[in-house]
Amino acid sequence: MSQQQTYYDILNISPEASALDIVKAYREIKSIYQPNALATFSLYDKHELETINQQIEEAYAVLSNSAARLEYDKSINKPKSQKQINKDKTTSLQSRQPSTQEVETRHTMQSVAIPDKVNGQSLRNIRKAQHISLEYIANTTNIPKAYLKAIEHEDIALLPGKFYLKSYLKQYAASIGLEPDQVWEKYQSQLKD
Amino acid sequence: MNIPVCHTPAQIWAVASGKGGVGKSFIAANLAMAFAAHEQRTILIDLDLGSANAHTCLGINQTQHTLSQLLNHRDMNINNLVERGHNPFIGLISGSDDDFDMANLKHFQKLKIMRNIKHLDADYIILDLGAGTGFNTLDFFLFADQGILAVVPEPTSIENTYRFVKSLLARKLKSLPHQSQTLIHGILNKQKKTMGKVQSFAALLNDMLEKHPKHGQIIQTSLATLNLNLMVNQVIDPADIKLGESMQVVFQRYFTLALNYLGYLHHDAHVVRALKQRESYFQLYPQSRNATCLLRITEKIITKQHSS
Repeated sequence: MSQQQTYYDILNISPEASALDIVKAYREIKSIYQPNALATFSLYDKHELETINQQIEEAYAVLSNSAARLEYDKSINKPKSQKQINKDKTTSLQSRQPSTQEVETRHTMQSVAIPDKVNGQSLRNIRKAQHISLEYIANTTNIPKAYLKAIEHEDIALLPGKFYLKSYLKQYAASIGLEPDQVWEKYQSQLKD
Repeated sequence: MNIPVCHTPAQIWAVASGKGGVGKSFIAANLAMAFAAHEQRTILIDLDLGSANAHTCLGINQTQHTLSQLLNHRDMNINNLVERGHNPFIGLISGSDDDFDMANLKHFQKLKIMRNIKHLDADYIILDLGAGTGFNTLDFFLFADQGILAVVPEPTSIENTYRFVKSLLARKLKSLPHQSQTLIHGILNKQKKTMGKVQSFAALLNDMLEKHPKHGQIIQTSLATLNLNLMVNQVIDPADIKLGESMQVVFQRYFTLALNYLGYLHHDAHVVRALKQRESYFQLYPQSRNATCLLRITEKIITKQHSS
């Protein structure tokens, strides 16, 4: 999956940035990508710099307008709205008692539609979109973090055996709101490919 | 500063730049002196093969040994080639008076040097590399645990630094599986045909992740082992200091690489004075702004290593 830049990425700020932070970031980023800037010397041609500056202007126009920013924030948080749409496909999460900020994330987490192609990267993207850390899954499932990482990197050789892969993958899937059996089927067939 | 005694393997730092004359040897030698001032056993190795002068920056005028001896003698222990400096914590493996063909190191010789460096008894090893993008320089840079890119606030230095990083990435990608390399070539050729030139490394990675996710991830995993740091030398204006921060932003956008801005050193006429006196700058001007900067930079590095 490609890494699409958000307006926040373009201005090099966090989505929690204040209005003042946005103005400061805009000025700084404009100075970096101005035609005679030292930091970009020889990397970009004139046309590329124009495109980058257009992107900066576009990002600033939206983020500096509080109403437009709110709208934009909603649009980039698509995974959350998809979750709402797929409420009927809910799966029960095993009851555990996490004690961090992720408790809230988990309580609000609904089931997620399973993509057509299930691989390590797509699973990782779904997990990240819900702000669930690997540490949290490791703590709640008692699966070592290294094995969870191996699942996401499709580094199956690192796992103790195929039986464990199935068991670990299903628990991992449930932890991120996916239907475990379907995930196992698709992940397995993808590995064979 | 109270720093606990370290018995872990030495951390290897390489100092490089695309352009010559930006102060690589000055940075490497004085960084080594600053580590030694923190009572860290430090060895500076002059790998500016064929143009060695780190010994002069360190204020060591007479050297007994040279790196060539390691290649010419089968049973040479690299620890016996270390010259001792003014401070008991500093050592130097000099390239002074090395063989005339040293600049054209053969592959097996390079591997022998790398193997031996790992056996050095030290806390920090600093590699002073030559200018340019030759394979030897790139390989020693990739061999190090941490790489420092030395730049001065001039267009020529910035241009050559980016060229160095591009060459470094090309060299790094050579170690990827054959299939990944073929796919990369395919995307680059397509970019050349459609856009007229190769696009940013970020665009390449994005294409790979989109079209060949598995191979895109292989690239990402490979890049994760690259630890790039930046030092801006010969700073005059406050804007020069900002250059480091700006380059961090550009590195992220163009290369998708995290660049750690270690710090900057001021333009100082005393650097040449120290060289003329055949003395180490750090030794001669310990109260200078640059010595303070170097002490602060090395303190951060040591603290970070001990906390990790």
